[in-house]
Amino acid sequence: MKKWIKPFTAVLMAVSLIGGLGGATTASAAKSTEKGKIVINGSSALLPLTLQAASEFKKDNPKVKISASAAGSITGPQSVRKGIADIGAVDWDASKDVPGFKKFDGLVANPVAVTVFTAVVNTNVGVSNLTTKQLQDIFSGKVTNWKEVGGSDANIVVVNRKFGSGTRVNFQQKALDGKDFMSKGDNYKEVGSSGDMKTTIETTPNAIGYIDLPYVTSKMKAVSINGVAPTEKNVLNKTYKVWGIGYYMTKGQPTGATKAFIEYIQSSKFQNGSLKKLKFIPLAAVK
Amino acid sequence: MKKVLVVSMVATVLGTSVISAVSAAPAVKPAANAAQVQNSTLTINGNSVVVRSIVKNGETLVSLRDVIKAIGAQAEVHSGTTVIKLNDHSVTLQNNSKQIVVDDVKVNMNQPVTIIGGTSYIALRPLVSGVGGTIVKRNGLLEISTVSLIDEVENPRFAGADKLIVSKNDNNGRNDYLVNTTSGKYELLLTTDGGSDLVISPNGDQAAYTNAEGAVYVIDLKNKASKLITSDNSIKPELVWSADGSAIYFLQGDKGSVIAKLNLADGAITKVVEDKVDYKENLNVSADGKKFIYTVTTLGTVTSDTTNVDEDNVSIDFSSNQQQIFSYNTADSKPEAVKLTTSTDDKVFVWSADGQKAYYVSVPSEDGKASLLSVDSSQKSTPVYAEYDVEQAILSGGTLYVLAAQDDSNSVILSIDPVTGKQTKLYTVSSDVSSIAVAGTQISVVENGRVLVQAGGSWRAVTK
Repeated sequence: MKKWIKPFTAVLMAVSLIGGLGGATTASAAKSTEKGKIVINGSSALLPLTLQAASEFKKDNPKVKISASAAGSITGPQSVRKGIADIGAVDWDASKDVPGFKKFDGLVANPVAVTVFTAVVNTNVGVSNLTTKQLQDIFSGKVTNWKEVGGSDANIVVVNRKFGSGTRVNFQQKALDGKDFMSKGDNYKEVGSSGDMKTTIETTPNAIGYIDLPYVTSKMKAVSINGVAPTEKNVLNKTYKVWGIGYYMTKGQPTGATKAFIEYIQSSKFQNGSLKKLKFIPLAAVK
Repeated sequence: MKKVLVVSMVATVLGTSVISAVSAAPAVKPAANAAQVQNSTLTINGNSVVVRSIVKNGETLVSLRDVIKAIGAQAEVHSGTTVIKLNDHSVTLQNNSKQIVVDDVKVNMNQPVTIIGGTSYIALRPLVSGVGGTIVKRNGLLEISTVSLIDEVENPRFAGADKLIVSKNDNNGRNDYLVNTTSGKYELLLTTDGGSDLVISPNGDQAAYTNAEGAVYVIDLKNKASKLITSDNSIKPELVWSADGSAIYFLQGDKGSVIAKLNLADGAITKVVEDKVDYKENLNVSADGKKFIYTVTTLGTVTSDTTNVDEDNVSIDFSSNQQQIFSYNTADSKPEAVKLTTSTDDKVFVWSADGQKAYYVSVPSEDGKASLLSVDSSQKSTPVYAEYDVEQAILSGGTLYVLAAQDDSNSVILSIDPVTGKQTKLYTVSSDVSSIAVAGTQISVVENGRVLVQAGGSWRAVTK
């Protein structure tokens, strides 16, 4: 049995008996003995969450090394299946089939956050609301000028995410009702990450794209869909539909430091604290 | 059948004005007049209290009324039976009886409840234990605590003299409490949902925080009033007070790319560093607000070809995945970030007072011993402490404090003068101590979820 605090050991033992002080009950009460390395790859939408959680987790678990990277959701479960990552961050449940991607057998989906996605335009675009039909027509290339949807006379620059992006999967399913994207054209671009999408929309006049809420800045405009603004409140009251659950995929059930890290992200402390500040929604809010 | 507890014989040392700690030592010879009422000084819930006492058959008994009043218990007297209630406990006693009933359990005492001059006297320990309190001896005086301590809290930090802020999280958000470190009494300070941790101002009078939308508030720790400073809704991963308390510096954006300054007087925000370098953390600001120390994390590089998903054409090069310490001096003619470190170790608990020299705990690998190093623009990391495995380091009031694991059973807390390098071992504690907090001469530890503060050479639990 480990020794009590010194000095005055006897007095403190008496205190503990009288006061009935038993074992600690907080989740983080026991001193961490976690060690190891955790490699996380995948979704760029979930990257801010991963890095913030890693920073906090390491303060209580300094012997755990966490290495993070992001190149789009599909590379997350691919990395885990290939054995080069412990956690594959992905914007859909990769243990199930979704349009465009088969399930990853043997991988376990650990939910970590609710991500809200939004259509975004450059600040020069004078349109603040689009219907589902208008979005489908813009992103398929059927509508090519902002004046066709209430804006000024200017060619629309469509910025899309590359195949494999979880943000793309969610936006196509939930904002475009599964309609196909265009894939080429003079006013068509593809980018590889949420960060690249942010930069492109900020710096490209007449551009439209889509992104998750943490990446929205004052240098772009989030667009309402069917008159509903992309806010947490509207997700919770079920009027805004373009959101999804982010997952950490692991090979089998997570163990050791990986398990502890996932549990930290799922803890009420993180879910109701840093996760919300990063513009994600806690898992419990949508259950 | 009701249980009966026997309280062990307690010997007394009769002092002229002090009722000292009782122990298993043999009883001393009683004074000539055992029923003589004396005044004795106790510490009760942090307050120095004088109570009347007598000695009966070598045992010190204290005035029931004086102790009840001091601990704030309820007392009802009916037909010679007194019922005392505190902390959901009840103690029932009768004059001239050696037996009391504590929460339906009979407890036998060595001396009966004794009436002298119309005042009832009782042994202290069974009374205090009966209402859920504790007695310890500290600096020669008995210290009684009957305060119901707060439980299941975390993240203690000092907020001025004799106060700690602690936090409790649940699915509805977070409650922050002010805990008196002398009595253990606590009161609710703030309830937030999605808010950041409270960051204490340098003078301990205020704390800053953001709500879930990013708006910045400052709360007065005396009157608990929160004031909105700015409704700017940009993401603010870290808040750091200026040395004079007039401003709050913060990292801005989901990647913490920008270092900005919020002026408390008018809520104006200015961008101080906007160099497009992402993933800044551990922000430290010099006293003059011109120099900064922070870390930057660069990510691993992923190469992938998603043409055929089933082929898993993905590779990760983690050679670029590093965390380095940088300094930035806005007073330079051409300010730019200067890299101070180049090593591949993890760097935690990064501190700097002057924005030029940084102290940090270097964690080389999962099995390596962590040590405390310093670094400056020479890019040479110098060992400051490496004897034991460093678990935490704090820079407070110009002094470094280190918690280090000495062995499987013990840890040490020591102070280090950063100028002379002189190390002073302050305390040896259990290896179950997971963190420390320091402010001036005040120090607290967290051990198995409990917060204890240093008080006169011993540790006083202020939470459970």
